Amino acid sequence: MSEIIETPRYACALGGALSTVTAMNSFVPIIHAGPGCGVQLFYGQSFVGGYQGSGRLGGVSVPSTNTYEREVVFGGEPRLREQIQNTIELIKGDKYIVLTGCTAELIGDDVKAVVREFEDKALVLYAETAGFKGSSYVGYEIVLNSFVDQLVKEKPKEDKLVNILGIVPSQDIFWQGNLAEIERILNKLGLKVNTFFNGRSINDASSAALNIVLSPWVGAVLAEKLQERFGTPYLVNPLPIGVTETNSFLKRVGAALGIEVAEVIAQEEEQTYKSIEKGADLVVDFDLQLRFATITDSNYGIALSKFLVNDFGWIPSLAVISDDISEKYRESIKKELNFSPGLSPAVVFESDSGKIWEAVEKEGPNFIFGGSLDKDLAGKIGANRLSISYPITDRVVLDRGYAGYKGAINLIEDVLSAIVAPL
Amino acid sequence: MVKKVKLSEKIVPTREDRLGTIIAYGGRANELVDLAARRCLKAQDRSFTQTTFCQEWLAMFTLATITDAVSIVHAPVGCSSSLSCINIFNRLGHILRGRVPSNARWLSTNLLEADTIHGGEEKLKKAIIEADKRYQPKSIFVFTSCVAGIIGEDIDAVVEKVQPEVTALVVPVHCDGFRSKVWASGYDGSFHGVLSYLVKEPTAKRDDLINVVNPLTVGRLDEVEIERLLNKLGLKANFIPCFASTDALRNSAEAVLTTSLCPTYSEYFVKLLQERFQVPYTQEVMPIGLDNTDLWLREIGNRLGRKEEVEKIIVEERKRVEPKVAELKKKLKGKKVFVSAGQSRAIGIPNLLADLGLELIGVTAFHYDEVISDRFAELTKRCGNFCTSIANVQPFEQTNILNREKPDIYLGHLGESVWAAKQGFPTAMILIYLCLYAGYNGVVSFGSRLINALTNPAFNKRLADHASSIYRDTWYGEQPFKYLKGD
Repeated sequence: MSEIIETPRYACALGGALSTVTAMNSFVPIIHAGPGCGVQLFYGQSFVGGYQGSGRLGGVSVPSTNTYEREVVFGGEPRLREQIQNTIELIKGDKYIVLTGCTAELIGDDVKAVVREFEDKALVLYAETAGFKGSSYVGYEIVLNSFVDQLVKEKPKEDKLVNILGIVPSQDIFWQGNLAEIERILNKLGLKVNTFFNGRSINDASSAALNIVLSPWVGAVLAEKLQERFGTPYLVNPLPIGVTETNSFLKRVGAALGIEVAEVIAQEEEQTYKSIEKGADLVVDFDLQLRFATITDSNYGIALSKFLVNDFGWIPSLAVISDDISEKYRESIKKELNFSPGLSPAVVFESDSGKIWEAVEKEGPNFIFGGSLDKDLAGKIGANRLSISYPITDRVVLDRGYAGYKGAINLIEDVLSAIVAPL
Repeated sequence: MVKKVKLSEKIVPTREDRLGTIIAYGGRANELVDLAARRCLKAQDRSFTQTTFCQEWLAMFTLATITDAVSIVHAPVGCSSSLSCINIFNRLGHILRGRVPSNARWLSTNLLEADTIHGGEEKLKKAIIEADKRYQPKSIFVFTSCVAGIIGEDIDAVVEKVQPEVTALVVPVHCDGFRSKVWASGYDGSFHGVLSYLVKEPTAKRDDLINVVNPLTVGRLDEVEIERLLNKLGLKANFIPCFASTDALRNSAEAVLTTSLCPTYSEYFVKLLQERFQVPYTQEVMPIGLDNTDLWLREIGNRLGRKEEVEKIIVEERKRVEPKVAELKKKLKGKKVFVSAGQSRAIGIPNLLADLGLELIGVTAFHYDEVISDRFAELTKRCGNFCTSIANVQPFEQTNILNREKPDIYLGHLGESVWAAKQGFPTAMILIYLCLYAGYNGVVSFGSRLINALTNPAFNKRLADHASSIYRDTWYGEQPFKYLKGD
């Protein structure tokens, strides 16, 4: 039996799928689900992710069949057919994707058959993203998998093109800034980058010379599939933050593609430390070396801990991993969080906020990296904190990022600002 | 036809069944009035729709801020995701009430695929026990969902079975998203639970206590204004259900009267509270605009036999604010305004706007039924034969209408207003947390807000310069109600 969850730290599969398609900006999403799913998941996935708004075609504008009792009783296929037809007529675009919710899948609508009727009129794909299939992360994987199955064909390889997988828009609240920084530094190596969200098409996914999975697990299965189908090698490298991790990331990419990276690394490192140096007086004069806990998904848990331990000199106490990961990835995640003795956090896999708060309170860190829901806890134990994981309603995030070299500077600014904020 | 409701029923009939509520109409106001008067108004649907709210959202929205309660959402994890958003209003509400902000409490039963086959009742039972153990709440609300409804979960039975094991009062709230086209049905599901499981027989009646039923979207500043007016009558306001304690709800039958800041919201609750506990009520209008605030007060005065005192207050208040309103009117007179809102606000706000001299060119109400039909007809007498759309947030229609009507300012609700902003129209929210709009002071405060929006629309103008329409160009040549269809 799966577990009940107090104040979950992710939305459902449809939520992740919807924010992924919305972020792509090239496919018109058509939700085939109950009336409230789109709005619930706009407010519950993007808006509470640092107040990210509807963008070009999101929020309350997303086409949706809004299935009611009649569809539940008699089936939703006629309504879906009508909705696709009229969406094509009304909404600008030439590519559409039907995202099914719980209702459509429970009543057993044959979405594939309905979609096929439009073969001659427009490109209409579908993804089975019922909320009961799991978290936002799972929804991202399902929808990308649908694109690969239904759209992506073998294409000639471009030896300087890489795909980025593993970053779930809105669930990773800093996705835009993170991807922009990764793209910037890979561009410096002479690479072209397809994140699927930067104007490049997922259609070209098979042209890449390398798939980079920027997560310990999200997108890994898809990368495996792309390797099987198109022979594209991949590397799994959780989000790099700061000089040590980003250097290592670039070296791995360089090794995989046979590119020289030393010069870029040296430049970036020097540039980054020029900025970090400016913060040194504050850190040293005020003894800002704290014991920290992370309440984040596995990606941020690893990324933050590595940066804070290896570059920033903080002491980890507890890493709560909240993204409901399957057993098979847990050992490798623990390994990633294993630093030298005295510098390895206790690792807890837990999605239930009640249990999380209990564990963190017992540990009593000085600084908490979590979501805005952890404010009350931080107040209770007198810890400082920064909102960095979903949901975030106490700060606004438009294109800020924490990845790479520049992200580390943002992170240092934000961490130190949180400490000096009452002054 | 309208069904009579009995409290003994487990599930309240939907508003479309109970009140004949419609969610789709397009035309001129006079036609709607005429159709409604002749009882010829037919339910319609749309053959193209954009996403909207479901009743489960509104049910959570009704009960999530009760201070000593825990919400349990019996659903996949996404159906509770916007509680993090409702929590924004929750924390803001604490701050505006001078309290230390704290989170709302909620749990999801996290229904997964296997649960849709084997059932989730065990998980629900576990969630109730956990909620009770973790927080010792006074009440626990259990919200249903599409999935729970379709797989046939018997939450009433689970609640009955588990109640002896916990100290909190456990309240089932029936709000399966697919069951009603009218999200306001979610208010009824919530209040039905409150009335059936919480409100108790009064041990004493309190002559000075008046229940004020107020939705989360009417903010604390409005409550302060309403409290000020009620205090003049020596009445103490018991604002329910938002930010109230479980006991404040339980004791609501002690009040001498129940009134409402939103008839659409309170409709079912006040009627049933009267039927069951003989607490009389008033809920004719929202107290927005001078005339409606007068009317709102007079209703209370009539019910309590205090007509003369009320008339005195009205004279005093009008004498005080009318000069200020006249000043604002000089600046706002003749400005063309379009209003989109829930049905009670959709007819309330225009009265305030008329006080300020604006010209109403169109109204969108999220739904329409007998709760507002008389007042809607009166509005046409005051504001003319304006463009009328009944739509449960359908921005494609709104975009087309605004493109034709070209208002000087657009007033709308959460989520939809940004699309008017992207068209370049100055906007102001009809859901206001940081600006007052109820009562006499609300006319002045809201008037000032409108002047700001009209004086510097730079943000929206620049936004429009960089936003491209998501609709095909041909859409703007079509009539906006093209996708309406018979049921």
